[in-house]
Amino acid sequence: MKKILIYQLISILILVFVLSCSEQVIQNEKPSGITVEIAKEWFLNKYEKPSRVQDNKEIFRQAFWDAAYEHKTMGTTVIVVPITHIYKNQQRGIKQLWVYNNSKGEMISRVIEYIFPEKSDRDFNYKKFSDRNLKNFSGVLLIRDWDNNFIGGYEIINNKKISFITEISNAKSEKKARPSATCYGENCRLYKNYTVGHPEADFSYMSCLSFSWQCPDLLSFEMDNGGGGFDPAANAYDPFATLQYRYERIVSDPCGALKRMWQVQRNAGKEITAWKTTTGDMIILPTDQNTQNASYSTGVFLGANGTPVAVITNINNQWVAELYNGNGVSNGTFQLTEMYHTHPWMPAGVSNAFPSGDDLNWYNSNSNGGTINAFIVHHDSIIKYNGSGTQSTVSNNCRDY
Amino acid sequence: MRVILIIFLATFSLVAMAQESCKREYLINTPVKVKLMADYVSSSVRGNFFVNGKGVIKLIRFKDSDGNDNWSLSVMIDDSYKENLPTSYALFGIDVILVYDGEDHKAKANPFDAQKLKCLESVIQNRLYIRPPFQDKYMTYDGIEGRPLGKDSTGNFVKRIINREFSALGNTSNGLWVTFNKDMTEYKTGSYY
Repeated sequence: MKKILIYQLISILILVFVLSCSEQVIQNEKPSGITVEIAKEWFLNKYEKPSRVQDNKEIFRQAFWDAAYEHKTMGTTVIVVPITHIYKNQQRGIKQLWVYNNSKGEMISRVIEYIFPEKSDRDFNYKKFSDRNLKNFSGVLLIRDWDNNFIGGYEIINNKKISFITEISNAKSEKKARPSATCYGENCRLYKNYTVGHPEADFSYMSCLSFSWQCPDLLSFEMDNGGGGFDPAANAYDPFATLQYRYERIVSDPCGALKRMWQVQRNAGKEITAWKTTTGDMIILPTDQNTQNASYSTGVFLGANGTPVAVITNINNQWVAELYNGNGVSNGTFQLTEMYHTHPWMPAGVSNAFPSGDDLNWYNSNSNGGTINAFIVHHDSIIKYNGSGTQSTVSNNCRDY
Repeated sequence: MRVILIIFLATFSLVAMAQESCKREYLINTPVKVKLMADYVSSSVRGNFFVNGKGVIKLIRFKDSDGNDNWSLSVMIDDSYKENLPTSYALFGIDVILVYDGEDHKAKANPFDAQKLKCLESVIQNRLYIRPPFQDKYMTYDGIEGRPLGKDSTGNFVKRIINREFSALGNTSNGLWVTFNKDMTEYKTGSYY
């Protein structure tokens, strides 16, 4: 009996110890005090033109705040914002914008690039990205600020930080980018020629399985938790959509729809056509038939299995969209009032803000008969045009840069 | 011999009359323009814009806000030029160029002239397809030869009018925008979108 009492006492002591440890962990977590709205307001105020690097017009970025969400990683709540990063007219890398409070309580932002180990996986295939079990991410993270300055990075295997990336060099220019400060020993630093990223670059890293993560975490994320744990953040939105065999209907958000069109245009490298319904929705059409300088606006649009997903017809001078799920089941019929198509973003000094011959032919064709309002989604503005080529700028294109 | 001479004179006079009705310009008259047009024809052939060997080049000339000469080039494969006859024509090798005066990338409208059309037809010969009159095209997805699009409220398969006339926006005819410098010794090009 006495022994039993002793065992019970020991058990209680152990239980109290464990509970006290748990309490300690909870007490160490700081309230984040950050929300998507706060992060967005801070970010847009801080960066005058937040979607484009000022000194390099070949880089084009867009942040999708409507898909931002809170995510917890390394003990810190971060706001994750999907972004596209276009360099020389191509989507480059799977990247996110993170906004959060650093270890000093100051709000900061970082651009996170996910690089998968296999080169075939680095081709911006969002489906692969979203389908992966990101709870066991293996690959490389590169961390930059919004001005595209390299800050640091990690090699990660199954969510464990294995090595800290200290510098990268552009494979073509050999221009090296280094972290802004150093706090690691030279004897702990290894060099390895390993081509990663977009644009492709070499990076060198230090591989020290036993060293403290405090320093690298402070350098790159300005987080003081360290500890090696990392929770990748899956995108809540498909920023790499090309809509090859499907349509998207954007409900009651014309401005968001225009931004979405521009995004798809950039991702697909093709012109994009959309129609506005009488209720204000926008239907962005599949892009399979389109090219970099032409897009289809009417007719039958097939899904991946050859079954119609959208049919755009003119019935008694009324344009109509019939939408299907790809298996013959209707997703609704909509009357249309306006037609939009994109013109690609052009370098400074080159204009494409006017309707082409085919644009005018379409407007004047018998099937349209001048019954619709037609618009060009230009990178600076929205341009309305008619069959005689008369055009007017009706608004900006809703892009927040 | 006399008969042959009469036939020759008659033919010559007909050609001369026809040519008077439509003005020919010697437009491709400098090495720069020859290079430009040679490149354009070459790209159009490579891109199969002269479908089955048919087609003429449509050229719209206009001045931009800086006073520079601009050309808008495209390939036309049907006889839609009859809806707005060109100002003149030019030749480049075996290719016919229909020249329009224009403004801001668009051709100005010219009055119809039956004699001019006849003249142009003699120049163009069989280089263009005859454009059929407009007609709606019907599509029925009956679930047998096509895939089912769905049924209407009466249970019948959906039948829809589909017209793909000019369903494409942008540039499907190898449109090229050319801007010359002041002395016409250099040019830059851009695509249409």
